[in-house]
Amino acid sequence: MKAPRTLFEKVWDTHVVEPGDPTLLYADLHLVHEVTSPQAFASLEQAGRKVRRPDLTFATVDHGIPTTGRQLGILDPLSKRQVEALRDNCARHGIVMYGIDDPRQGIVHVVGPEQGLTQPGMVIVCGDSHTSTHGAFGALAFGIGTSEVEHVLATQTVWQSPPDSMAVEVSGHLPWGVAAKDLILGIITQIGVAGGTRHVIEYRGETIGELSMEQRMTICNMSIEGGARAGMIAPDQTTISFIEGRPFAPKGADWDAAVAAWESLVTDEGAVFDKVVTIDASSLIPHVTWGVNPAQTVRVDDFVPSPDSFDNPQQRDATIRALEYMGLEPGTAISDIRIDHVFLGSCTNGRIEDLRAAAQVVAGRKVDPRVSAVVVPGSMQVKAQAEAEGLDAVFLGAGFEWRDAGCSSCLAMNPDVIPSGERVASTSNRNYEGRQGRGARTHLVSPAMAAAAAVAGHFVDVREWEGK
Amino acid sequence: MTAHRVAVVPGDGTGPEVVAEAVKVVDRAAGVFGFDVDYSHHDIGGERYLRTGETLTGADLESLSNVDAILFGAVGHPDVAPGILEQEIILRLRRELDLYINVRPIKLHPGVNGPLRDIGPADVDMVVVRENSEGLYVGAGEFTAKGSPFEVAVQQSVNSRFGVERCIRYAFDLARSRPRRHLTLCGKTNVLTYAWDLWARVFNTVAEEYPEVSTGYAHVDAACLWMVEDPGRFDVIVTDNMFGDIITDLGAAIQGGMGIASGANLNPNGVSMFEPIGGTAPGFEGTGQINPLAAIGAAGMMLDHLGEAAAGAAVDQAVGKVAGSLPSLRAGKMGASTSEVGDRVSELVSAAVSLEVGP
Repeated sequence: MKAPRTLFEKVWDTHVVEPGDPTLLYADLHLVHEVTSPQAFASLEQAGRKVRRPDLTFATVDHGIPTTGRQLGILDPLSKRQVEALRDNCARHGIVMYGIDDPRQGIVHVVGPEQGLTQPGMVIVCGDSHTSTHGAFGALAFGIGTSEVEHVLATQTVWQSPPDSMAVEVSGHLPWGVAAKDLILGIITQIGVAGGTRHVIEYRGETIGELSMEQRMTICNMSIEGGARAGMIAPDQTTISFIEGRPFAPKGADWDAAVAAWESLVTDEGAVFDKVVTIDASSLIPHVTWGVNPAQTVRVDDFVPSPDSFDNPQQRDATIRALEYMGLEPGTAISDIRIDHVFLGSCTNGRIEDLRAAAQVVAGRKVDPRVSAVVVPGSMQVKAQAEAEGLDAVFLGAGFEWRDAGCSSCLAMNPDVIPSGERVASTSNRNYEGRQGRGARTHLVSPAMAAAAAVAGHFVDVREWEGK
Repeated sequence: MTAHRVAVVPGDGTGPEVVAEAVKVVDRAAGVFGFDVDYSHHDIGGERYLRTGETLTGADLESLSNVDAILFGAVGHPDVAPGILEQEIILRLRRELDLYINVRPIKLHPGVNGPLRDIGPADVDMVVVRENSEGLYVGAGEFTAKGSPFEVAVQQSVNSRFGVERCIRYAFDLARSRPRRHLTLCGKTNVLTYAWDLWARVFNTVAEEYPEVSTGYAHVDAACLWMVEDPGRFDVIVTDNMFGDIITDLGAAIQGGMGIASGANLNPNGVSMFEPIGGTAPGFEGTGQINPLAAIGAAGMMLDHLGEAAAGAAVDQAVGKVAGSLPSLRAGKMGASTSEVGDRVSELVSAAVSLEVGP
């Protein structure tokens, strides 16, 4: 009898082409976007190679494209060149690409699951850190660099050092007003931004089983912010129901066979993780980051920490630097921090449930006149769904802008840049210095918290709002 | 071996000359690819109208409805007032046979001098799918106060969900069958906000059933610009009746002119009609100088449609090769007569087969 294995080991083992350190792994799906691919294609063609499996390669545009005024074309010359290069590369190599005017365009990590491309048990790679999102389906999904993109294009395989395994055991129900975003921020605060280094995390426990796919994607998406290579969640009925009927999902007898295979993708009883972390979801309250990495996070009812509260001199110095960049005084109540911008979107929180949660908070309310608030749906399909539900009217009525899909302000590669010195409540995943614009000050929060901050003009504990 | 029943309608002007070459090539393809064609010839057009006063009779329609395909030359006559033959023969045939799709392949063959300096054969390989039964061309409208200084003329664009959807579905199926699998909707959503709202909604809905087809959208004005500046961005274009009418002529220009522009009016569930789109060219009638390649290309499309895919592809390739070998595609400047051009295509069709069955 086989030794008990973790979910990660089961997926890894079935994809090994050449064992060792590094191991050569087969990739079932390669997602491509306009920013990390042009050099890879150019170099591939220079070497006289073809794309090995165009049928397992899928492209869309997201990172640098405008989210407004698209009928005018792309005005930024670099972004325009990248998008045109992707279009030409995909046309030449026979790769399906959802371009800027395709009704299915969107952030690659939103589109993959939405179209049913993302499936349990796959190895999925993409030239983007937040590829870990797809782990929510029980896939092993990780970001790769541009030279690796070329390698995957040419061979459909990728070299990887065998990672260690970590279990994050989550118990207890998420309280009302506490989002998946708060759970993952709580986990990162607990393990630290390097706590997951070299590890693939499996999120486990009754709480995880209660979460929707959107919530699971938010959690796996930010695994990388805890330093992990990837995050995974075992597929269950929620997963299967989500995938069924989507355009690229298996059909007919293939579907039945796929479901049968997916059901075996669970960590066996007795399988051993290299590291185990436990967290009680029922004790969580909404989180707000105050610093320049996602572990510099406190509860919304807490205060900006003092550098003196850290014994470790490195942490003390990091706090001093972070407070300086963020323009914050120690001891300030989080709810006293005024904001200038709200960004609702990204591959972390740009899905339909995220927009619903935010719309519920803003319905019947108005955005503070000093705040500029923007909704950027994660995909054009999310946008269409939201419009079918009337959410656009809710946001527009409250004073939000209602944009087209893309990465937008999350990394400010397009015109949606947060000005220097200004403060943004953002549902995205990274609060590094300069991430949302040079000198921009980012506070990461859940969609409901961002919506409430837009209305109040400062952070508020969304649990205190009756949410109409 | 079943015979394909083909109705031949040579029509007026140079129509009979080019159709004769098309039939010559079809006969050759039939011989080498091993199928039979059973032709019926139909005297329809301006000449007959002047002789008998008949445009399209019930008997004509009856017999044209009972074939597998129609090979059409051209109708038009200098002595017949404009509008009569167009309305009563061409438009009526489209309506009666419900030829709701117009397909226009636009391909610049190697060796053909296109009019665009930096645009080569790799850039021009697209198909326009034009809705052929609705839009502004249904003839709906009215005059108010006709003849007075306050006269108002209204021409209505009719777009049914049924008509739009069947056209879009055809375009998606076609796009899926081509290597690039890319479909562009060409319209005017920003100004024609009723018609194009419907088109865009149907397009987006149908797109969900074709995940392997990537899609794009272009306003018709932008599409015209891109067809000249960057035609390589297009694979299949789907559009309405009027925009299709306009951009297919622009397409003919970038592929080297009317001499090589073939088209099909399709009823995917009925009888379809294949034609050169160039018209009757009355100035060249009887000179043996007209270019038959468009008519021969249409015959190739017809063979493909009839299920003779290999024969269709062989004709298409042969047309491309001959086009590239001629000094010009214009009537009178081909450096060869109409029938010599037909002979060359026939020879290449034979050669294609001998290559195919070779070692």
